[in-house]
Amino acid sequence: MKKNLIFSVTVVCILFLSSLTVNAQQKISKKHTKVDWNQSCEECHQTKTPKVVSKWKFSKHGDANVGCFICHGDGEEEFYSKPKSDRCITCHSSQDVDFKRIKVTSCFFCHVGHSLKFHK
Amino acid sequence: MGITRREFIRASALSAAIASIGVEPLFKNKLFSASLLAETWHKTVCRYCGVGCGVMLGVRDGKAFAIKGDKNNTVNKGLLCVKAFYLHKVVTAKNRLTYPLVRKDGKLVRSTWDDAMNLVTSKFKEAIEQNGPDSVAFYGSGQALTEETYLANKLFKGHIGTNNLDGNPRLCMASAVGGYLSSFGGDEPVGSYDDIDECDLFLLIGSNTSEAHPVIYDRIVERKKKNPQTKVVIIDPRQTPTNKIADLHLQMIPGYDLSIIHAMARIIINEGYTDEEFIKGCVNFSDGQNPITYDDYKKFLEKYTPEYAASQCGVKADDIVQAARMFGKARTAMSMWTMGVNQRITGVWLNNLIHNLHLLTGKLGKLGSDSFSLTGQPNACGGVREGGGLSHLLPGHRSVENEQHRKEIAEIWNVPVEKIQPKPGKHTIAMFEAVAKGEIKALYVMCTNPAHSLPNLNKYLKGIQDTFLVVADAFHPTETTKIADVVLPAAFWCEKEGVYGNTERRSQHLAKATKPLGEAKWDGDILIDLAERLGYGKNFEHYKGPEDVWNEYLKCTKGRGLDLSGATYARLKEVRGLRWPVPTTDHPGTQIRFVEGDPLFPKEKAAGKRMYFYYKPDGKAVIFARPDKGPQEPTDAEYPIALTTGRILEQWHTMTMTGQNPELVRAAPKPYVEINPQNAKELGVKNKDFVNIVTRRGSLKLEARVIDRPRKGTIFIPFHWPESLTNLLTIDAVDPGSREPEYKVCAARIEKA
Repeated sequence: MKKNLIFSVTVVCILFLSSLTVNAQQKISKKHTKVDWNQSCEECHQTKTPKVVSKWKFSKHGDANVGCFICHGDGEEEFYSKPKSDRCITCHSSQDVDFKRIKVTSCFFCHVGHSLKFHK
Repeated sequence: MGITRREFIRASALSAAIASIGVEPLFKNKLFSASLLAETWHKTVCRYCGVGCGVMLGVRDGKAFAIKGDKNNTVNKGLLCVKAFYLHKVVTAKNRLTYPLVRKDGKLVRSTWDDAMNLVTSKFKEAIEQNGPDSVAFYGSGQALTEETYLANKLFKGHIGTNNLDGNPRLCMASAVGGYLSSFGGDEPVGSYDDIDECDLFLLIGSNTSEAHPVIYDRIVERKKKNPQTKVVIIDPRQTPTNKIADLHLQMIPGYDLSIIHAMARIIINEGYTDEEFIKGCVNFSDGQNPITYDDYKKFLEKYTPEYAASQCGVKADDIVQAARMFGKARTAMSMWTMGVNQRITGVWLNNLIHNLHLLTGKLGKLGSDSFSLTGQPNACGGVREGGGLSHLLPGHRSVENEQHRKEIAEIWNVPVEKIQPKPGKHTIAMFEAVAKGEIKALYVMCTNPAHSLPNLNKYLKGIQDTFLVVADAFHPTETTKIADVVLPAAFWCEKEGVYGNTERRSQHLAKATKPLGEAKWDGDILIDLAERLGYGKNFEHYKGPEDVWNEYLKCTKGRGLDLSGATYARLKEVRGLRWPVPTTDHPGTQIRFVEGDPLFPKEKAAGKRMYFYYKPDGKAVIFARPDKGPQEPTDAEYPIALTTGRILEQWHTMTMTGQNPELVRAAPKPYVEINPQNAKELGVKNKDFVNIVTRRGSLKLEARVIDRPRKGTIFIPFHWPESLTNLLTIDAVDPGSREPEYKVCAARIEKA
């Protein structure tokens, strides 16, 4: 009994510590390249990643001027190369779905990044 | 008994298996976290613009940690704009002021509340005793809670005895107020946001809706998608992101749009788009001085042919005709406007002319049709326009000049009626002119930043610095706190409870979700403390909190057009706001005014008429024949370029809040001036070159953004950056009716730097 308890506690501790590590990894995601920070995301990415900017511009986010920094952070102080769905819910709280029920893991499962088109 | 190495490996394998099948570690489990960290969500309203989006603020361990749109709020239905996305982070921004500051030997140093308030009290007492009550003044804000503006009003007008109490809505909405009062007899829109969902023709004038009111813009976009017949006509000197949904854009020379609206009215009459029954029953005519007849008005309009208007404002005559026909033919139509119309020396007149179109066509007072002014700030309507926070107003849409109004408020405030002066006090520009001359000895500024936002700044800055200046603000430094004598740390947004009233007459409750940071205090408590120290405690010490203040304010609205008697705190906490008039606690609020369904609609007096403008003696609204006056400072040989100023999506006003979010700053990290490519070519200016923009009032060095947005001959500069004060360039000429300055057009020249 005591042995089982110690075993269970060990499992929980490992899970806890691993989630901390995961969290830390999510916080320190791949760093943005050092650039001249006196320019907007769009200014630089128009030449660096023009296709991505174009996809965004013609998306609903582009229409509404929801800029790169909403999903990706400002780049210098905070940067998410692959943002999480919980950022989506801030503005789209009426679309807060149960991912498990619809058998996906995030909004991006259906809404492709940048174009935000459904599946494509 | 410990754990063996074999058991540890088994435990690790089991943990890995659990994680891989998607079972969240307990730590991340919502229920687990909530139980450990007591996460709560609070219903409140966005701190930023006049749309008044419902927001849910997440608090954990006493700190705001997340934000999301309130999906149950009909205003925004869960949607938020980019500014609100980061609002929760502003609460603990680095520039939050957490203790009082007092200037000693030229420097602002930390002080105690008692010492700071003793100094404020002594300076105000000294000024009042030596120079009279009009030697002090209060400058407030359309971002303050209604309760805060109400307390300031009661203190300054009702106890100190000066009407030198004004607010920054003077700089943005005063012309809209003037327009509503003169045309309809009462302030604020007839309809509500519900009209958007039934509107077939949007006329957007002087409004970059997609950047200044993004959630309203989204609602217009949704309407267009649901009903492809819906059209959008824009009248604006600039192409903006709003143009994405434009079917027609009249890109006129700034300051010359009155002729367009007159020309549209002429076509509407000549081509039979009028509602003659409505005009006969519900409309009078005036030239601004005297009543005139409908025929007089038609004669007045004869001059305003499309060709004449086109020659005045630089657009095509055919486009003006098309705009008029689109408006006239549409089943329902909404005009929406904001600073492009209001911040003009003809702001009130232009408001009147927009109302004229709706009165001629009867496109008013029915779902989908409205003459709908978009309010800039979150509580310009609720706190200042309704709460009486301007130098000529008293609470509940009353006027200091009206004897009966003074009696009614004096009774509620428990002061002798003689205490409230009958003469209006100094409006904003006059107030700061008096400050500049040394006539105002002590000035209390609350929740606003005039040393950044006043026009023609160089004229006023020294005076503001020289007077005894008290600033109550949540943030420091700002351009105003930097030059203050005393800076009092104010509680910010979710750190206080109160009410905001938005564009559509909807009063909404803001929850107190966290404690004020450091030594910050609720502005209401600061004002009550000042009142007590000045010897007026008797009428202020009974307030136990903001709800008591709100309940007293409700007495000021009872029986009035903006009756809020049914909007108790208990009710407002339950619902997502109530649109006044809401006279009883079981009344649902009012969707459309001056029609049946409005609890104040006098059915008998109306005698079958569809609308009865009950503020007007005969129940009729007024169509005004106003001259098509141009701007105060037209362009000339020396200053050949029209300068217009405004906002960008990502920044709010003077960046004291949004400037603390690096993500929002990233969108536009530095100041710039938009220059039309044709002008740039003529001047030999390339994108990102530095130029000097010069007006008669000042000069700024800015980076050029060469872009096909402002029309040729016009430049545009956002006013947000403290390191580049756009208002050094702008003109402080005011509308003679509203006293609102003409930020939207003055004369400039571009020089290569």
